[in-house]
Amino acid sequence: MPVDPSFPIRKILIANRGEIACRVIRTVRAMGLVSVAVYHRVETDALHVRQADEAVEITGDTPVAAHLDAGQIIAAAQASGADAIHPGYGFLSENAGFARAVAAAGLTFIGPSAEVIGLMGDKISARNFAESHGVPVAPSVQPTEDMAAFAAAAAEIGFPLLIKASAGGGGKGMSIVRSAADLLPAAKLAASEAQRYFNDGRIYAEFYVERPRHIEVQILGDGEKGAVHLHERECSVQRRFQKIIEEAPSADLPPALAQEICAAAVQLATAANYRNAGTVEFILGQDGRFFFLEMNTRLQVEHPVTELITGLDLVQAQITIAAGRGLPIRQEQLRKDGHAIECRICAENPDRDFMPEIGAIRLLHVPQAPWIRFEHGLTEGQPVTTDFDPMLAKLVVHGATRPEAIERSLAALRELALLGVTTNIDYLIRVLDSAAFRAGALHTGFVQEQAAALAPPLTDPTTRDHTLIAAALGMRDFQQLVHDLPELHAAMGPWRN
Amino acid sequence: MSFELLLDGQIHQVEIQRRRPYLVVRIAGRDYRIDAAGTADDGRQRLIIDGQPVQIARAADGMAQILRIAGQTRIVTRHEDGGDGTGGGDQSELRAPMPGAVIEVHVASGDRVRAGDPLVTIESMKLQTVLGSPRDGIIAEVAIATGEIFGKDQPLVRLQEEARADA
Repeated sequence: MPVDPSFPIRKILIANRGEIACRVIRTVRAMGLVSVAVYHRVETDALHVRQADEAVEITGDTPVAAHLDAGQIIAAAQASGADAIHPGYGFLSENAGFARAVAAAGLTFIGPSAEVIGLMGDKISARNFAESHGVPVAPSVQPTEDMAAFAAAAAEIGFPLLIKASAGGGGKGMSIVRSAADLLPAAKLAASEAQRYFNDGRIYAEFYVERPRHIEVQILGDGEKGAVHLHERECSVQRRFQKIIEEAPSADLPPALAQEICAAAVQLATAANYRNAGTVEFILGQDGRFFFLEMNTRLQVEHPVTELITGLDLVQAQITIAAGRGLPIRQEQLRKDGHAIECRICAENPDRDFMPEIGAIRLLHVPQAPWIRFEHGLTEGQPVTTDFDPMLAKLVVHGATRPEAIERSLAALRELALLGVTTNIDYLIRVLDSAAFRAGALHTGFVQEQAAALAPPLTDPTTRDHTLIAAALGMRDFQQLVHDLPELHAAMGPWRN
Repeated sequence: MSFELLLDGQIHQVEIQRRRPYLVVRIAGRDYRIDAAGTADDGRQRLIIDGQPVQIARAADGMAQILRIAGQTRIVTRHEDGGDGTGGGDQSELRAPMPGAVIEVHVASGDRVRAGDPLVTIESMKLQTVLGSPRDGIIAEVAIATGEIFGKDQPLVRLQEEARADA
């Protein structure tokens, strides 16, 4: 892309790592701008460091601590002459103090204003804001000093109730209460967990939607009361309250309802005078009622599915909005082309309650096709440790229809080889191949509900024997037995890598 | 000639029936003919088994072969005499009970140890664990070093074979 000489951003520091840093660098380069990576000592050889035009080392007791050190990252931006910071997701991306400090340092924060981050970052204030602007929220009650009044108000909403931490996220401090007797003990436990995890003990009890679907809407705002939606995404397949498969558009939503949900998201973004990319999350009941869940004031992990159906580059949109150039499209220009599915490839063992696994990337083979995007920050030989999140990569696949996107995803997952650490790849294949997923019968309890259907199948004898043959051929002792005879050696070819 | 492998906790025999002009192995009473295979291509390989091409991806992890065949990832290890490969049965070998990293190695080759003496401190899932010697003996080999990471069941320390009437 030719560089517009008057474009106010020239050099962008990416305050992140892994696949999302690589993703942002790609667009920064395509826009003709200069990228700066940050890295902790243990990431010296990481892909994002190699791909960026420049890289600055940051220090910390742990790699994560380094990436959370706002002062050091702003200093790195200033030292490298960057004029803007892209926070990616996680780390400092939803930290209002960081956004404020970036602006105070005279740099552009590629994201919303610190005020909006603060407003949406607190679940109770976000909820109240949504409610006061006509966005549906689930009936809820906050505990006060008067626990009897809290219990009475909760009973009025009716059971089951969901207890949540105000500052929460990732399922921490969350529990379902099915009877009045369980309410107060559960509330007490949630408050202490919330205090421990978030240093904020405020909790609330909310109407619990049975078999809820997680529907979220990608929005872009210009910070001047202009906002558009880029359709919805469905992220109902979750484990440990975290998404593993996302798709756009949703699996099976009546168009009028999708429209209504997207309109509610735009309404919220407009009311907040939202600037940059954001996601409004909703819980959708089986009866078609939907409620505001939260707003994520950053780029999402699953943003590529939206890019694949809209043809938009969301990182480019973020940068042009931050540069004051407004929204990339008007609402009526929005496209919707086919269906896209993202699978999160994680270093974890689905057969052991999705426990994180460690190892090393010993082999990475990525399938190639025009409809496949494989987002990662991996290099062969790289250790996989518990220093960072277990998500290793994302496989994002487009198809003309949902069934085609499923078939293409399955073919890609079967070909994908990421060896050296236990991953959820085989599990993802079983999910996508399951009758329930194909039917679009999704809800956030899908993984538990379908556990039996998603258990690892018995290996058929032929595949088992082929596996044993391939393994034996890779072992030196076996080769020696076989290769005693020179003619055979010639006939067999090289067995070893 | 037989070769014992461990897959999914089961021991399997791979018997070499003939070696030329092509390789034939017998597994569980069934013979497989293996012809010249394609060369390795970015870690992937094509075997011709009973005339059918079989696409595999392979990585070696210490003693283990990690394989991806037919959309499934499997780990196969050599089943050695005296060991059951599950980490508990072989008294001459300390194997990793779970994947992790080595924090400290407490012994060196030639050291005499008593059963339960600390051999290696590992960290796994942010928890440190001290692994003790499975029996009395002399260290034959320390297979890992401080800072290294390892997979489940990977041998960490080997003891010398039981001395005959040493005491």
